[in-house]
Amino acid sequence: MADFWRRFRKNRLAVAGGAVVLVVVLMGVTAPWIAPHDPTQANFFNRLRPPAWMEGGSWEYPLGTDQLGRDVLSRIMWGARASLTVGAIVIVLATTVGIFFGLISGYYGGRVDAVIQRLVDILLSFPYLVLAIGLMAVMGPGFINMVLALVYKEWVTPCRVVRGEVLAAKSQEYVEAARAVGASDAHIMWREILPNTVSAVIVVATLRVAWVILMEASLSFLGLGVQPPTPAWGSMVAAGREFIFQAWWLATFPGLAILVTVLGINLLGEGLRDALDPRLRE
Amino acid sequence: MSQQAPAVDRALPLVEVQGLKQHFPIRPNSVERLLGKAPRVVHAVDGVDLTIHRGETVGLVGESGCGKSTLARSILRLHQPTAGSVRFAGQEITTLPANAMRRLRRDMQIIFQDPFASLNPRRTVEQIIGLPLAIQGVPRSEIRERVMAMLAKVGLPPSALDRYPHQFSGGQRQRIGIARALAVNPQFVVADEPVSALDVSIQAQIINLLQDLQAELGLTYLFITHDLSVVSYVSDRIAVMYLGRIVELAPTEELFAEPLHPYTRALLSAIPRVETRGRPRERILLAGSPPTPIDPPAGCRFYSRCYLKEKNETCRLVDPSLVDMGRGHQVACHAVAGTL
Amino acid sequence: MTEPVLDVRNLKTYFYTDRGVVKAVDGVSFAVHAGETLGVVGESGCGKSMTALSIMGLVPHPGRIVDGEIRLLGHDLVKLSERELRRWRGRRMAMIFQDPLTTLNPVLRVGTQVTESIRIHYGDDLASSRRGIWEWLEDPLGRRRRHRAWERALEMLEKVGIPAPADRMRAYPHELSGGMRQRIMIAIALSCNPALLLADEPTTALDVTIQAQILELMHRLQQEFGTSILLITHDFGVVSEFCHRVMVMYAGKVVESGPLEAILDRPLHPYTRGLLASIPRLGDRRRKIRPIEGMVPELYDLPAGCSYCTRCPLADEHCAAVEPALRELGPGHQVACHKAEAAVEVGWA
Repeated sequence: MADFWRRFRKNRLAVAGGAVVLVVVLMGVTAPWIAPHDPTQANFFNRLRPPAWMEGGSWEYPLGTDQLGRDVLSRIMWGARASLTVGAIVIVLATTVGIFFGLISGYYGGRVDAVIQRLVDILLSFPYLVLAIGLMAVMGPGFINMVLALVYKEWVTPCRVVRGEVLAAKSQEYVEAARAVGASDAHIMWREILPNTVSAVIVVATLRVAWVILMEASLSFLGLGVQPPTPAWGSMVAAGREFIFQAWWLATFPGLAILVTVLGINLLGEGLRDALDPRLRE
Repeated sequence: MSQQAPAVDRALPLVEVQGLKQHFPIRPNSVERLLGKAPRVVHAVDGVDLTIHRGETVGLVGESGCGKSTLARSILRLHQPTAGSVRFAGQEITTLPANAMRRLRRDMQIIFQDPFASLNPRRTVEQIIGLPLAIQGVPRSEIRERVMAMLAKVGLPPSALDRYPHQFSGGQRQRIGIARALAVNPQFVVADEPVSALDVSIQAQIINLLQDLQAELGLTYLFITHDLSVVSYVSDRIAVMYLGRIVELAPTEELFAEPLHPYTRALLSAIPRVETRGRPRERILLAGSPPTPIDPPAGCRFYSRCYLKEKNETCRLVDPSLVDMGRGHQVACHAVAGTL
Repeated sequence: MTEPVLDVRNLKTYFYTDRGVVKAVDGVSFAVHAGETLGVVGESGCGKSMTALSIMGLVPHPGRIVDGEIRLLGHDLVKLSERELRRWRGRRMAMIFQDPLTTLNPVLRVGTQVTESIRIHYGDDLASSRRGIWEWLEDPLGRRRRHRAWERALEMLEKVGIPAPADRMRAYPHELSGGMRQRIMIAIALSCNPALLLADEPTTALDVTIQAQILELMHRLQQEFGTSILLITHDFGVVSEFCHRVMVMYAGKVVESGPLEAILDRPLHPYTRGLLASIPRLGDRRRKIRPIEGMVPELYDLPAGCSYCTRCPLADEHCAAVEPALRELGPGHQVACHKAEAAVEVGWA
């Protein structure tokens, strides 16, 4: 473990990514205490105030205000909660399901594999967003339904990745070696093969967190995800779109928040992969 | 190498293989399936008889694709044999239920060629060597100690215990592989090209280690290699394989003094020797390469490359079987055995 | 003596890594004469392959040639630009590798790959001498030139003993056996009649009967074309069957070099002796093999003196402190060892 930290710290980009993610997480967690304003409190006297450094701006609203006079900075801080929660929950659920089916599919092969992979193919053949919109149209909008709609397809990616890794690992001599000493299928799957898929799963999971955050933003943008007045980056971008010429900051800052978070997560993910893989240790 | 072995009754067979066949179907691709083509079959091992006695080392040589590694894996039942019988210490193992087979694995182990691929990069040396012990029901508290003892036996420091395979050199990794195979005190060990991936000077270390361990533990080896110099050094008897069959089997000195099968003779003459005197020597250059094991020829498998003047229609059509030529020397060749 | 085909002097190829400078090739000097085969022997990491890649100008990142001269036919390759070097590769020197499957392009037909090299080099030669305006008018699309290259390729495949060469020209690499693929590589390498052939473990991946075929082929072609060969191998058997002279490398340096008979019968360096003592001889079980103890040292931190002193049974403080220089102890027989004379007396080869 100490080894892992030492290696991770050496990778400056990954540390930077980790720092970004940490800041975003802290921002979300402590939003109720550090946000300068109530994110849902409308104030018609302060509508569409520009950011502090522009003419007409003030440090009371560092990133300006929206069309209802709500503080953009506070809403971004609160919005982090929605994005990160959805991202984390969806990925944890999807990865668990995906690992399970990926392992079984890759290890046993044959008919089991065929059934699972055809299911995967079918899910993959739907455009992600269309599928999510369709599901949410049936289930109705809302936070939990959004999580379910995303997991419904999201498990496919870790499943494919794990299956591929299992197929590669299965033909390795160490698996045969384990069989030669009499190890059971369960041992071989969970103890010999699974640890070798970890780095790929971590990389994919982090990349997909970023994806899910984008999906959440898209769904919220479309009004299906997090419901107003609860702030979410996606719905902020959507609302700011109408004012893009008068008040560019409305769409830009939540958009930047999405960009920075996604980038930070990706850098972190790659750093984790490098640090976790013992083959890359000296 | 087995002269110093503890008192083992060498006349007793430990492994008896009879008529062993290992075929692998090739899954037809979708086009072939549409055309209704019959699935093709690789005849990797195609009718092998072999007896290995307690305490001896049998060398198994042959070129790539001749089925020597598959034969070893079928004997260990890492593949389920297509046909034939394998008896281990008198017990038929090809039909043994999974549980009994798992218990039997304590007695028959394998050392792999590739010291990189055969050790799981995610597991520590203790976990790797401890695995067979754990499976055979050794209590957790004892495993660490027994692993330490094994490490000492193969010449690795106790500090190796908590390290990962990638922290070792090729030779050291092969020692870890040997420790894993020997941890459960097996009687029979298959060594599948154990030194082929190693540097020359390290090869000698591992060969000597294997010999010392054999002497100390009274092991029986099936030693697979394509390197005839190595196999001639370690083996009591040598079996030569060609295209899924054993074509010649003889005590080592006998085989080198008087190779009988035309393939063996070509093989021996092809080996570059480290010597400056006595050159040039006669070299039999074989034409072409072995046929594929997908459709092995009906008669003698060596027919297409055989250079003997005597070869005729019998060779092409009739499959020669191993014939005892005396002094434990068996050969499968019509011309040599006089069955033309 | 005439000028050697290849003359390498004090070659140093270093790798600049995070963990320090790896001296993969550290002051290596040798020569290969016309029609001669020089065997380079050593264990993995001794710098034998890197020496060949340095000559070809193909040292991979983060390595580079930091010092020395590589004179091929009198020209110093180290000083050539990448562009010039590219014209030399293939035409004046060619290299074949251990694994012919990974060096042949899997999606191109064999014929395309063999003619490619001919058209790039040999074809250009034909063109530059003959291809004037009239030639161009006669053959504006270069169809004839292409045809000539194809003919030449066919001829080469025949020369390297490929049956039904016209059919094989249309085959893809995976459709051929390992031995056939190595023959193709040799055909490509020799198609432009290079002065020097660098063969890096050309038969290691092949079966012994196929290895015998390939070695026989290389021998025959060498006699026909008079090519000089630098043969890199770990196999003393191959060396003793094929080479005129031998150079033994250890940790980036030449420790011993000399005529084949001298190296095999009167090895002077403890490492050469150790290597020879550690290989089993065919059919000889009475002669016990003796391994070299220990491992090749990390190239990051080599001992100050002799690199072999950590494994050498004869080493003393002097060996650990002072690096031995190559000295001549017989006709053409050089050794870098303080204890060479003592080793002879011990006589444990």
